[in-house]
Amino acid sequence: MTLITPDYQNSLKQLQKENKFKGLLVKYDPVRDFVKKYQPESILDYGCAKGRLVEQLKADFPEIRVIDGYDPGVPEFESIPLNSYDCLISNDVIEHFEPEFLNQSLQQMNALFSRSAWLIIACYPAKKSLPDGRNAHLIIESPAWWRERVAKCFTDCCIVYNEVVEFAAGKPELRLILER
Amino acid sequence: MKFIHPGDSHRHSLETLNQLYEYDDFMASIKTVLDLGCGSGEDLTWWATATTRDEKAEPLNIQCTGIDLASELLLTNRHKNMFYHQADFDGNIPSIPSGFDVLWCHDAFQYAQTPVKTLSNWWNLASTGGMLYIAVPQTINFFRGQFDYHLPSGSYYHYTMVSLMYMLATAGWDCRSGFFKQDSAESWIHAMVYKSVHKPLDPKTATWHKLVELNLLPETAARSIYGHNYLRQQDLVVPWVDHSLMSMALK
Repeated sequence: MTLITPDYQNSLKQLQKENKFKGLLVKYDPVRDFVKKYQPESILDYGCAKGRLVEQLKADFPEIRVIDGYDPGVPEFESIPLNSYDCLISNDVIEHFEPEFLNQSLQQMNALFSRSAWLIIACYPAKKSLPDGRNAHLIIESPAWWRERVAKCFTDCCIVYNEVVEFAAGKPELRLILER
Repeated sequence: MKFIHPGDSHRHSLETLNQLYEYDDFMASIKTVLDLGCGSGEDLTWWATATTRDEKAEPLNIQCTGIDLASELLLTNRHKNMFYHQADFDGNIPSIPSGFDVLWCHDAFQYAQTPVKTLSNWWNLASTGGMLYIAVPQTINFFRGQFDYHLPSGSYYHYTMVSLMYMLATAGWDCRSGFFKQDSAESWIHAMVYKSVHKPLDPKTATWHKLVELNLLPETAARSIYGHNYLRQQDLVVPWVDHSLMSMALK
Protein backbone atom coordinates (compact mmCIF):
# COMPACT_ATOMS: atom_id res chain seq x y z
CA MET A 1 0.00 0.00 0.00
CA THR A 2 1.45 3.36 -1.01
CA LEU A 3 1.28 5.96 1.75
CA ILE A 4 3.79 8.51 0.54
CA THR A 5 5.22 9.51 -2.84
CA PRO A 6 9.00 9.21 -3.28
CA ASP A 7 9.28 12.92 -4.10
CA TYR A 8 7.54 13.91 -0.89
CA GLN A 9 9.62 11.50 1.17
CA ASN A 10 12.78 13.09 -0.27
CA SER A 11 11.45 16.56 0.57
CA LEU A 12 10.84 15.46 4.15
CA LYS A 13 14.35 14.04 4.37
CA GLN A 14 15.79 17.29 3.06
CA LEU A 15 13.82 19.32 5.59
CA GLN A 16 14.97 17.13 8.46
CA LYS A 17 18.57 17.31 7.29
CA GLU A 18 18.50 21.09 7.07
CA ASN A 19 16.80 21.46 10.43
CA LYS A 20 19.78 21.35 12.77
CA PHE A 21 18.13 23.52 15.41
CA LYS A 22 16.53 21.25 17.95
CA GLY A 23 14.14 23.62 19.70
CA LEU A 24 12.17 22.56 22.74
CA LEU A 25 10.54 19.22 23.40
CA VAL A 26 7.03 20.59 23.11
CA LYS A 27 3.78 19.02 24.26
CA TYR A 28 5.54 16.40 26.34
CA ASP A 29 3.49 16.78 29.54
CA PRO A 30 0.17 15.62 28.04
CA VAL A 31 1.93 12.68 26.37
CA ARG A 32 3.49 11.71 29.70
CA ASP A 33 0.04 11.90 31.34
CA PHE A 34 -1.41 9.75 28.55
CA VAL A 35 1.28 7.09 29.03
CA LYS A 36 0.82 7.16 32.81
CA LYS A 37 -2.90 6.67 32.40
CA TYR A 38 -2.78 3.75 29.95
CA GLN A 39 0.41 2.05 31.24
CA PRO A 40 1.19 0.36 27.92
CA GLU A 41 3.82 -2.30 27.40
CA SER A 42 4.60 -0.98 23.95
CA ILE A 43 4.37 2.43 22.26
CA LEU A 44 4.86 3.70 18.73
CA ASP A 45 5.65 7.37 18.11
CA TYR A 46 4.29 7.82 14.59
CA GLY A 47 6.15 10.71 12.93
CA CYS A 48 8.88 10.77 15.53
CA ALA A 49 11.28 13.12 13.63
CA LYS A 50 14.74 12.56 15.14
CA GLY A 51 13.37 10.48 18.00
CA ARG A 52 13.53 13.00 20.82
CA LEU A 53 10.18 12.00 22.32
CA VAL A 54 11.14 8.33 22.04
CA GLU A 55 14.36 9.04 23.94
CA GLN A 56 12.55 10.99 26.66
CA LEU A 57 9.85 8.34 27.08
CA LYS A 58 12.50 5.62 27.36
CA ALA A 59 14.18 7.62 30.14
CA ASP A 60 10.97 8.34 32.01
CA PHE A 61 9.34 4.92 31.55
CA PRO A 62 12.12 2.32 31.68
CA GLU A 63 9.53 -0.33 32.54
CA ILE A 64 7.90 -0.09 29.10
CA ARG A 65 9.17 -3.00 27.02
CA VAL A 66 9.10 -1.41 23.55
CA ILE A 67 9.14 2.25 22.53
CA ASP A 68 9.66 2.62 18.79
CA GLY A 69 9.57 5.52 16.39
CA TYR A 70 8.55 5.79 12.75
CA ASP A 71 9.29 8.70 10.43
CA PRO A 72 9.66 8.44 6.66
CA GLY A 73 11.76 11.63 6.67
CA VAL A 74 14.50 10.23 8.92
CA PRO A 75 16.58 7.31 7.62
CA GLU A 76 17.02 5.90 11.13
CA PHE A 77 13.25 5.60 11.58
CA GLU A 78 11.96 5.11 8.05
CA SER A 79 11.15 1.39 8.27
CA ILE A 80 7.38 0.97 8.25
CA PRO A 81 6.39 -0.68 11.52
CA LEU A 82 4.94 -4.13 11.15
CA ASN A 83 4.09 -4.81 14.78
CA SER A 84 1.02 -3.75 16.67
CA TYR A 85 1.58 -1.62 19.75
CA ASP A 86 -0.52 -1.06 22.84
CA CYS A 87 -0.46 2.70 22.31
CA LEU A 88 0.21 5.03 19.42
CA ILE A 89 1.35 8.64 19.80
CA SER A 90 1.34 11.16 17.00
CA ASN A 91 2.14 14.82 17.68
CA ASP A 92 1.77 17.29 14.80
CA VAL A 93 2.11 14.70 12.06
CA ILE A 94 -1.21 13.99 10.38
CA GLU A 95 -1.44 17.46 8.82
CA HIS A 96 1.75 16.60 6.91
CA PHE A 97 0.15 13.65 5.09
CA GLU A 98 -0.32 13.98 1.37
CA PRO A 99 -4.07 14.60 0.82
CA GLU A 100 -4.42 11.75 -1.68
CA PHE A 101 -3.12 9.27 0.89
CA LEU A 102 -4.86 10.65 3.96
CA ASN A 103 -7.48 7.94 4.39
CA GLN A 104 -5.03 5.09 3.80
CA SER A 105 -2.51 6.64 6.20
CA LEU A 106 -5.10 7.06 8.94
CA GLN A 107 -6.27 3.48 8.39
CA GLN A 108 -2.68 2.29 8.65
CA MET A 109 -2.27 4.16 11.94
CA ASN A 110 -5.48 2.59 13.14
CA ALA A 111 -4.03 -0.86 12.51
CA LEU A 112 -0.92 -0.13 14.53
CA PHE A 113 -2.38 0.02 18.06
CA SER A 114 -4.55 -2.27 20.14
CA ARG A 115 -5.62 -0.07 23.05
CA SER A 116 -5.35 3.70 22.71
CA ALA A 117 -3.93 6.52 20.63
CA TRP A 118 -2.92 10.10 21.37
CA LEU A 119 -3.16 12.52 18.44
CA ILE A 120 -2.36 16.20 18.07
CA ILE A 121 -3.31 17.73 14.73
CA ALA A 122 -2.28 21.28 13.83
CA CYS A 123 -5.09 23.22 12.18
CA TYR A 124 -3.10 26.18 10.89
CA PRO A 125 -0.45 26.83 8.19
CA ALA A 126 3.14 25.97 9.08
CA LYS A 127 5.90 28.55 9.00
CA LYS A 128 8.06 26.20 6.96
CA SER A 129 7.67 25.44 3.29
CA LEU A 130 8.69 22.39 1.32
CA PRO A 131 11.45 22.72 -1.29
CA ASP A 132 8.71 22.86 -3.97
CA GLY A 133 7.10 25.87 -2.26
CA ARG A 134 4.07 24.13 -0.74
CA ASN A 135 3.24 24.86 2.89
CA ALA A 136 4.71 22.11 5.09
CA HIS A 137 1.22 21.46 6.48
CA LEU A 138 -0.24 19.87 3.36
CA ILE A 139 -3.72 19.69 4.86
CA ILE A 140 -5.05 22.72 6.70
CA GLU A 141 -8.55 22.05 7.96
CA SER A 142 -10.70 22.95 10.94
CA PRO A 143 -10.76 20.88 14.15
CA ALA A 144 -14.32 19.78 13.33
CA TRP A 145 -13.26 18.54 9.88
CA TRP A 146 -10.39 16.56 11.39
CA ARG A 147 -12.54 15.10 14.16
CA GLU A 148 -14.98 13.77 11.60
CA ARG A 149 -12.20 12.33 9.41
CA VAL A 150 -10.51 10.62 12.32
CA ALA A 151 -13.80 9.14 13.53
CA LYS A 152 -14.41 7.76 10.04
CA CYS A 153 -10.97 6.21 9.50
CA PHE A 154 -10.21 4.94 13.00
CA THR A 155 -12.82 2.22 12.96
CA ASP A 156 -13.67 0.33 16.17
CA CYS A 157 -12.46 3.29 18.25
CA CYS A 158 -14.15 5.83 20.49
CA ILE A 159 -12.94 9.39 20.88
CA VAL A 160 -12.73 9.65 24.66
CA TYR A 161 -10.95 13.02 24.84
CA ASN A 162 -11.34 15.87 22.44
CA GLU A 163 -10.03 19.38 22.98
CA VAL A 164 -9.07 22.32 20.80
CA VAL A 165 -6.04 24.11 22.23
CA GLU A 166 -4.42 27.31 20.98
CA PHE A 167 -0.78 26.41 20.46
CA ALA A 168 -0.21 30.15 19.95
CA ALA A 169 -2.49 33.07 19.14
CA GLY A 170 -4.62 32.10 16.12
CA LYS A 171 -3.05 28.63 15.89
CA PRO A 172 -5.59 26.02 16.98
CA GLU A 173 -4.68 22.37 17.33
CA LEU A 174 -6.92 19.40 17.92
CA ARG A 175 -6.01 16.94 20.67
CA LEU A 176 -7.66 13.55 20.71
CA ILE A 177 -7.48 10.33 22.66
CA LEU A 178 -8.92 7.25 20.99
CA GLU A 179 -9.71 3.99 22.72
CA ARG A 180 -10.61 0.60 21.33
CA MET B 1 35.77 41.70 28.92
CA LYS B 2 33.43 43.51 31.27
CA PHE B 3 30.63 45.75 30.07
CA ILE B 4 30.55 49.18 31.66
CA HIS B 5 26.85 49.89 31.12
CA PRO B 6 23.92 47.42 31.31
CA GLY B 7 22.87 48.59 27.85
CA ASP B 8 26.18 47.37 26.41
CA SER B 9 25.59 43.93 27.89
CA HIS B 10 22.08 43.84 26.44
CA ARG B 11 23.36 44.90 23.02
CA HIS B 12 25.72 41.95 23.21
CA SER B 13 22.80 39.65 24.12
CA LEU B 14 20.74 40.97 21.26
CA GLU B 15 22.92 39.29 18.69
CA THR B 16 21.94 35.88 20.05
CA LEU B 17 18.36 36.87 20.86
CA ASN B 18 17.81 38.05 17.30
CA GLN B 19 19.22 34.80 15.94
CA LEU B 20 16.79 32.79 18.07
CA TYR B 21 13.94 35.07 17.07
CA GLU B 22 14.15 33.72 13.52
CA TYR B 23 13.03 30.29 14.71
CA ASP B 24 9.30 30.97 14.73
CA ASP B 25 8.16 27.56 15.94
CA PHE B 26 10.73 27.59 18.70
CA MET B 27 9.68 31.05 19.86
CA ALA B 28 6.02 30.07 19.77
CA SER B 29 6.74 26.98 21.85
CA ILE B 30 8.35 28.91 24.72
CA LYS B 31 5.97 29.44 27.62
CA THR B 32 8.41 30.37 30.40
CA VAL B 33 11.85 31.94 30.66
CA LEU B 34 14.09 32.27 33.70
CA ASP B 35 16.82 34.90 33.46
CA LEU B 36 19.57 33.93 35.88
CA GLY B 37 21.41 37.05 36.96
CA CYS B 38 19.06 39.34 35.09
CA GLY B 39 20.79 42.57 36.16
CA SER B 40 18.75 45.54 35.12
CA GLY B 41 16.28 43.30 33.28
CA GLU B 42 16.79 44.36 29.70
CA ASP B 43 17.05 40.83 28.37
CA LEU B 44 14.05 39.91 30.50
CA THR B 45 12.07 42.73 28.92
CA TRP B 46 13.01 41.48 25.46
CA TRP B 47 11.57 38.06 26.27
CA ALA B 48 8.48 39.54 27.94
CA THR B 49 7.65 41.74 24.96
CA ALA B 50 8.51 39.27 22.19
CA THR B 51 5.89 38.92 19.46
CA THR B 52 5.38 36.67 16.47
CA ARG B 53 6.98 37.75 13.21
CA ASP B 54 3.65 37.65 11.41
CA GLU B 55 2.42 40.64 9.47
CA LYS B 56 -0.02 41.18 12.29
CA ALA B 57 2.36 40.56 15.16
CA GLU B 58 0.83 38.81 18.16
CA PRO B 59 2.43 38.90 21.61
CA LEU B 60 3.99 35.58 22.55
CA ASN B 61 3.13 36.33 26.18
CA ILE B 62 6.08 34.40 27.56
CA GLN B 63 6.01 34.30 31.36
CA CYS B 64 9.38 35.74 32.35
CA THR B 65 11.08 35.46 35.71
CA GLY B 66 14.32 37.16 36.61
CA ILE B 67 16.53 36.58 39.60
CA ASP B 68 19.43 38.58 40.88
CA LEU B 69 21.00 39.74 44.09
CA ALA B 70 19.43 43.22 44.08
CA SER B 71 16.37 43.74 46.25
CA GLU B 72 14.27 44.90 43.33
CA LEU B 73 14.34 45.09 39.58
CA LEU B 74 15.12 48.64 38.58
CA LEU B 75 13.09 49.10 35.44
CA THR B 76 10.79 51.90 34.49
CA ASN B 77 8.63 49.73 32.25
CA ARG B 78 7.41 46.59 33.97
CA HIS B 79 5.16 44.17 32.13
CA LYS B 80 2.42 41.97 33.52
CA ASN B 81 4.26 38.82 32.47
CA MET B 82 7.50 39.81 34.23
CA PHE B 83 8.36 38.59 37.70
CA TYR B 84 11.39 39.22 39.83
CA HIS B 85 12.90 37.37 42.77
CA GLN B 86 15.82 38.43 44.86
CA ALA B 87 17.96 35.31 44.99
CA ASP B 88 21.47 34.03 44.46
CA PHE B 89 21.55 31.86 41.33
CA ASP B 90 24.50 30.02 42.83
CA GLY B 91 22.25 28.54 45.50
CA ASN B 92 19.18 26.36 45.51
CA ILE B 93 16.77 29.21 44.63
CA PRO B 94 14.00 27.83 46.84
CA SER B 95 11.30 30.37 45.97
CA ILE B 96 11.24 29.56 42.24
CA PRO B 97 9.04 26.80 40.81
CA SER B 98 10.73 24.48 38.32
CA GLY B 99 9.83 23.73 34.70
CA PHE B 100 11.26 26.69 32.76
CA ASP B 101 11.48 26.22 29.00
CA VAL B 102 14.46 28.53 28.63
CA LEU B 103 17.11 29.33 31.20
CA TRP B 104 18.96 32.44 30.12
CA CYS B 105 22.27 33.46 31.65
CA HIS B 106 24.12 36.15 29.76
CA ASP B 107 27.13 37.84 31.32
CA ALA B 108 26.57 36.39 34.79
CA PHE B 109 27.79 32.80 35.05
CA GLN B 110 31.38 34.00 35.57
CA TYR B 111 30.28 34.99 39.09
CA ALA B 112 29.20 31.46 40.05
CA GLN B 113 31.31 30.26 42.94
CA THR B 114 30.30 26.60 42.62
CA PRO B 115 29.77 26.33 38.86
CA VAL B 116 29.18 22.57 38.48
CA LYS B 117 26.77 22.51 41.41
CA THR B 118 25.02 25.58 40.04
CA LEU B 119 24.58 23.97 36.61
CA SER B 120 23.21 20.85 38.30
CA ASN B 121 20.70 22.94 40.24
CA TRP B 122 19.67 24.64 37.03
CA TRP B 123 19.06 21.22 35.42
CA ASN B 124 16.33 20.77 38.04
CA LEU B 125 14.79 24.13 37.16
CA ALA B 126 14.40 23.35 33.45
CA SER B 127 11.37 21.79 31.81
CA THR B 128 11.75 18.40 30.13
CA GLY B 129 14.05 19.04 27.16
CA GLY B 130 14.39 22.70 28.15
CA MET B 131 17.16 24.95 26.90
CA LEU B 132 20.01 26.68 28.72
CA TYR B 133 21.97 29.57 27.25
CA ILE B 134 25.18 30.77 28.84
CA ALA B 135 27.49 33.50 27.65
CA VAL B 136 30.63 33.82 29.68
CA PRO B 137 33.71 35.95 29.06
CA GLN B 138 36.85 34.04 28.25
CA THR B 139 39.57 35.27 30.56
CA ILE B 140 42.48 33.43 28.99
CA ASN B 141 43.28 35.12 25.72
CA PHE B 142 46.05 35.60 23.23
CA PHE B 143 46.59 39.28 22.70
CA ARG B 144 49.25 40.88 20.51
CA GLY B 145 51.31 37.70 20.44
CA GLN B 146 51.14 37.06 24.18
CA PHE B 147 48.86 35.18 26.54
CA ASP B 148 46.64 37.51 28.49
CA TYR B 149 45.05 36.30 31.74
CA HIS B 150 42.69 38.50 33.69
CA LEU B 151 39.89 38.05 36.20
CA PRO B 152 37.38 40.76 37.07
CA SER B 153 36.32 41.11 40.71
CA GLY B 154 33.90 38.42 41.79
CA SER B 155 35.09 35.90 39.18
CA TYR B 156 37.09 33.00 40.55
CA TYR B 157 37.39 30.69 37.56
CA HIS B 158 38.80 30.81 34.07
CA TYR B 159 36.54 29.34 31.38
CA THR B 160 37.40 27.77 28.09
CA MET B 161 35.07 26.09 25.64
CA VAL B 162 36.36 22.74 26.87
CA SER B 163 35.96 23.46 30.59
CA LEU B 164 32.47 24.84 30.09
CA MET B 165 31.48 21.83 28.00
CA TYR B 166 32.80 19.47 30.68
CA MET B 167 30.81 21.24 33.39
CA LEU B 168 27.63 21.37 31.33
CA ALA B 169 27.72 17.70 30.36
CA THR B 170 28.56 16.62 33.91
CA ALA B 171 25.56 18.59 35.10
CA GLY B 172 23.29 16.65 32.72
CA TRP B 173 23.13 19.14 29.86
CA ASP B 174 23.10 17.71 26.34
CA CYS B 175 26.00 19.32 24.49
CA ARG B 176 25.71 16.86 21.59
CA SER B 177 22.58 18.55 20.27
CA GLY B 178 23.72 21.93 21.52
CA PHE B 179 25.37 24.95 19.94
CA PHE B 180 28.61 26.67 20.80
CA LYS B 181 30.42 29.77 19.67
CA GLN B 182 33.60 31.47 20.68
CA ASP B 183 33.60 35.09 19.78
CA SER B 184 37.29 35.78 19.25
CA ALA B 185 36.88 39.51 18.71
CA GLU B 186 35.21 39.99 22.09
CA SER B 187 36.52 36.89 23.88
CA TRP B 188 33.14 35.44 24.79
CA ILE B 189 32.10 31.82 24.93
CA HIS B 190 28.48 31.06 24.10
CA ALA B 191 26.77 27.74 24.86
CA MET B 192 23.19 26.76 24.08
CA VAL B 193 22.39 23.27 25.36
CA TYR B 194 19.38 21.15 26.28
CA LYS B 195 18.32 19.36 29.42
CA SER B 196 19.21 15.74 28.74
CA VAL B 197 17.45 12.65 30.00
CA HIS B 198 20.42 12.04 32.31
CA LYS B 199 20.44 13.44 35.82
CA PRO B 200 23.51 15.43 36.86
CA LEU B 201 26.50 13.18 37.49
CA ASP B 202 28.85 13.18 40.44
CA PRO B 203 31.62 15.54 39.27
CA LYS B 204 34.20 13.54 41.22
CA THR B 205 33.61 10.47 39.05
CA ALA B 206 32.34 11.92 35.75
CA THR B 207 35.01 11.03 33.22
CA TRP B 208 35.16 12.20 29.63
CA HIS B 209 34.53 8.64 28.51
CA LYS B 210 31.43 8.40 30.68
CA LEU B 211 30.07 11.60 29.12
CA VAL B 212 30.70 10.20 25.63
CA GLU B 213 28.96 6.96 26.59
CA LEU B 214 25.91 8.97 27.68
CA ASN B 215 25.86 10.86 24.36
CA LEU B 216 26.29 14.18 26.11
CA LEU B 217 29.16 15.52 24.01
CA PRO B 218 29.44 16.62 20.36
CA GLU B 219 30.68 14.04 17.87
CA THR B 220 33.98 15.85 17.35
CA ALA B 221 34.54 15.84 21.11
CA ALA B 222 33.90 12.10 21.23
CA ARG B 223 36.46 11.49 18.48
CA SER B 224 39.04 13.58 20.34
CA ILE B 225 38.41 11.69 23.57
CA TYR B 226 38.68 8.30 21.85
CA GLY B 227 42.03 9.38 20.44
CA HIS B 228 43.57 11.08 23.46
CA ASN B 229 41.54 10.07 26.53
CA TYR B 230 40.73 13.73 27.10
CA LEU B 231 39.16 16.52 25.08
CA ARG B 232 41.46 18.77 23.08
CA GLN B 233 39.90 22.09 22.21
CA GLN B 234 41.60 22.15 18.82
CA ASP B 235 39.71 19.00 17.82
CA LEU B 236 36.30 20.59 18.29
CA VAL B 237 34.10 21.59 15.39
CA VAL B 238 30.89 23.03 16.79
CA PRO B 239 27.72 24.46 15.25
CA TRP B 240 26.03 27.72 16.16
CA VAL B 241 22.38 28.63 15.79
CA ASP B 242 23.00 30.74 12.69
CA HIS B 243 23.89 27.48 10.85
CA SER B 244 27.63 28.25 10.95
CA LEU B 245 30.25 25.70 11.96
CA MET B 246 33.30 26.76 13.92
CA SER B 247 36.56 24.88 14.06
CA MET B 248 38.24 25.49 17.39
CA ALA B 249 41.59 24.64 15.81
CA LEU B 250 41.61 28.18 14.50
CA LYS B 251 41.16 29.78 17.93
